[in-house]
Amino acid sequence: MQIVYRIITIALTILVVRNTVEEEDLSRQAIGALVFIPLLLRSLMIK
Amino acid sequence: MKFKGTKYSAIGLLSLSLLLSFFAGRSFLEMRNPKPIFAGPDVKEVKHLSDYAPVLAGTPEDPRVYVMEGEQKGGTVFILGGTHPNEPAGFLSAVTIVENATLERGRLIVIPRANPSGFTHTQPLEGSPQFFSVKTPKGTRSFRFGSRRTNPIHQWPDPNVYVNKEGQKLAGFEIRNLNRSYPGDKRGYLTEKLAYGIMELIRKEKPQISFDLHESSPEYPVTNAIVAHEKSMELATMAKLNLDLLDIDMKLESSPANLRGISHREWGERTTTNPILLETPNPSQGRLRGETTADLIVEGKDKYYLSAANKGLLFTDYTEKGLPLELRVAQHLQTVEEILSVFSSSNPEKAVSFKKIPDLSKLNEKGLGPFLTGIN
Ligand SMILES: [Zn+2]
Repeated sequence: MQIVYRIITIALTILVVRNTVEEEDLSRQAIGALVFIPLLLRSLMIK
Repeated sequence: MKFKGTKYSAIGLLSLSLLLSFFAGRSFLEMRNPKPIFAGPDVKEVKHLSDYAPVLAGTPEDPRVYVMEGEQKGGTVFILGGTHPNEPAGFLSAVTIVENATLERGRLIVIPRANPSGFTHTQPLEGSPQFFSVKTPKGTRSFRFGSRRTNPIHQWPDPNVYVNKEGQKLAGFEIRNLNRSYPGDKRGYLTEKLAYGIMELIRKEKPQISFDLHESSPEYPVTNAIVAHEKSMELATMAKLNLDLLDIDMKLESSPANLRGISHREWGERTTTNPILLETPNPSQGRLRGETTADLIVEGKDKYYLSAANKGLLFTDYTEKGLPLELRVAQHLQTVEEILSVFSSSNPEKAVSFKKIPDLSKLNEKGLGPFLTGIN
């Protein structure tokens, strides 16, 4: 079960990072980068 | 006006959040490292619960088991602390015994961190601090404040309703509450495996008495209490009379026969042991508290509890002096000592007695610090 969550988390992280880089609005980039924090924490939490 | 983002600003922002994530993640993962417990003079062996129940080996629920032995042969007594890692006096009483106590007769088996996974996180929405610390003559020693339940990282998801092995229907999250999971299940959820492991220890070591050390909210009726199974009620009653003489107010509560899954019920039904559960009042756990700080855990001072006490709403005495941790630990240790002395005098061949234990008078005089220096 946990491996499934890890894959989903990593996939979401990649998606957020890609969208952040592609976004041309600075405030949206900042939000994208902030969304990245809980995703990264979540992937740290899963053993 | 609109700020325009470029690839470089995106990379800059991402690096910034990466840096923040690094520090946040590091502080978060710090919660996973168990704080050391030091084996005291009479600890003869340090085992793991998986030595009794191999199914727990390699899981996050494999607590350390400290086996203490006195000079003379006698009976065996089991002490479980840390069933609920948000009840610090239960856990610290077991630590204080492991690190300080010496035995005259018999064996003592102590598990200070019954639910190790519960010590790796705090409860959501409770605003609990990760750590609290006790001042000792050798410096400040910090301890983890945990959650009542197993970490969902280790056992997930919860069902809507948890029906335990005894058919008791409980709220879904109680599936991660060790003290609702007895007698456990070798092939069940992780917390049920842990409960099974503790039952195995009791079945194999055959302690005459088994203690489960807890705390509860000051506004909860079952606080300052000895909860006893029918088998242990006589023992508890005699000990209560001795505690009255010392001005320690411990009420007697009988273990409800139709509330299944709890230590004092299932240990008593399924093994030869006499189960006893102790509760002291813990303001850092109650619903009426204000800000939840490390000081509240250690000193137990809270203005909202004071005003509740003045309105007669609490089930414990409460003054502006608060409810310090050392007093709550003293209450546990003195109660354990009284119960052992009552038992030992009527069962001399199975006696378990302390030579030295930091009890009420010593903790009143010196506080908890000198007994938690970590070096003996
Ligand atoms: Zn408890």
